[in-house]
Amino acid sequence: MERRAFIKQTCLACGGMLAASALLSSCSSLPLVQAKADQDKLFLAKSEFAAGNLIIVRNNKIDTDILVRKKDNEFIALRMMCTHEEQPLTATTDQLHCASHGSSFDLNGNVTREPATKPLRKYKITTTEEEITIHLNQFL
Amino acid sequence: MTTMKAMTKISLTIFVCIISLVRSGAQILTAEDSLNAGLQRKFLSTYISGYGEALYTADLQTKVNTADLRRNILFVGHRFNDKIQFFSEMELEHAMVTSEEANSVGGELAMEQLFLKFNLNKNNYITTGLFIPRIGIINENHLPTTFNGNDRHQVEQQIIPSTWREIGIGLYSNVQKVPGLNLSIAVMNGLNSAGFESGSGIRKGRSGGHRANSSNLAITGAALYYIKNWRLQMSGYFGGSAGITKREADSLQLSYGTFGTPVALAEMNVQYLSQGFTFKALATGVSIPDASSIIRAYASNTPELMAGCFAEVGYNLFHLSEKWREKNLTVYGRYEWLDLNVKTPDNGIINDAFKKAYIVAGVNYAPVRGIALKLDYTHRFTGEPNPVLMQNPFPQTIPYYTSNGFVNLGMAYSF
Repeated sequence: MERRAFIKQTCLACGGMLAASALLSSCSSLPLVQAKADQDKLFLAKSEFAAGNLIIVRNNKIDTDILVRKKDNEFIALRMMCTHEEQPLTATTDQLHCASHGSSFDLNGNVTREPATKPLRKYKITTTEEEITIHLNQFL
Repeated sequence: MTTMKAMTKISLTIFVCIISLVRSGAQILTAEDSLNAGLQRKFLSTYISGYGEALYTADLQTKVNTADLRRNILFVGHRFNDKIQFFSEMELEHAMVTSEEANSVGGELAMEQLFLKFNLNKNNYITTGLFIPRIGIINENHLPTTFNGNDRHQVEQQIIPSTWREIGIGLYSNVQKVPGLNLSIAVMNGLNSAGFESGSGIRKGRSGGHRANSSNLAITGAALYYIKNWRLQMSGYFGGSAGITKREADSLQLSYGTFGTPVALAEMNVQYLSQGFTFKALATGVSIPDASSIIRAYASNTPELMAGCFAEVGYNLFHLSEKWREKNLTVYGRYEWLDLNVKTPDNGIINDAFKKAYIVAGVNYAPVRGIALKLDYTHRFTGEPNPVLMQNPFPQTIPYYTSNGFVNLGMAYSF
């Protein structure tokens, strides 16, 4: 295969995959919410869960995203950082995955695929009628 | 000059990519930030871990059994601060490097990885040093507790020469605008075609960080996408394999330059995990368009094209048990096909012994996470070896079995 042909085919394949990814993501992506922060807490309105039970919470001042899951009116906040080598995780509607070394976790934070051996860390959550508070310095 | 120009272009491209990513990324953390308190590990920390495996193999045709401490790896990492980390893996293969035992064949002591990682922001980082690019499944995820069977996938040993590491710089990105998509691109030193051998493909052309000729370079990239319980990946590699002086290249009639005497590899794989059921499949091909010139220069019978694929299904029998949730008992089956000389140039010689198929079936038991006890049966089918390539004529020829079975019993750990 000539260099030009290889580069062309690789670019086409990558472009195709990007397009397919964008198409697929439109029906599978999780909502991303920029949460308000105050000291060591993040605040999230319960109304954010109107469309689904999973939300990725972000605040640019913290080092990782947080996956918040609503289950039977209870909330779980998972730190999206792999317990194997502290790599950021990618969340889908079914699992969390580490792109670096292949670990996977279920939506409760339990390991479903090694090399990670420990579950994800869960933040303490308190709730009011309207709002969820994630306590960034307190883990369950 | 060609090399300099190419390197300048590549460096500029990477620089522009980095700047773009930094500008589009999240705010950089500061240690003073109160929100950061308690979220990070202690900044200055050194950590040690490791993995390894031992294996007993019974060859059912030759009746020769072997036992081997195949590898032990010591991992040492260090966190300089929340942005810069050091990773290293030192691997000792076959228990020792030299031995006084009669007929001993030495093992290998080598650095499997040694790189610095610079976090640009929470979604992008750079690695530089001796690192393993994202090609295939096993190359990055080679811990023996993470794959079924005692042997790594044959396609990922013989076609993709895992674990394949070179010295270079890589950029990894979690694309926020397309959730689930991860991209990576890396520039590394290229292969050395003087090492290519008939039957082992490009494996012996790797440098592993050992005094590599870096006049020739390689570019590799991967797109990895997660959706629901699926992991989809495709990757490519393109690089020169004649890292020698122009005079030497001219003398050997090899094309010279950064990407001279090129090698191209393409690969795609898919993995699925849900409800205890696992599936994985991979297909790959390697093209060496100047194979004819390499054969003329080094008499190595280098192929123009190699290809391989495999598919595996497995099920964790403990999946439905709440009591044994931390344990794992996976039964699996895998089929692999590969051909190390799909296409050979006119001055090469086809060898049907390099057309191979493997059927693997077995069970993996993990009493706790990080431990795997493995039992498998592997059956290998090949074509007949080409008698023209036999160096030891009858009756000195070692019997060759085109159909052979192996029983493998092993243990693996990772902590």
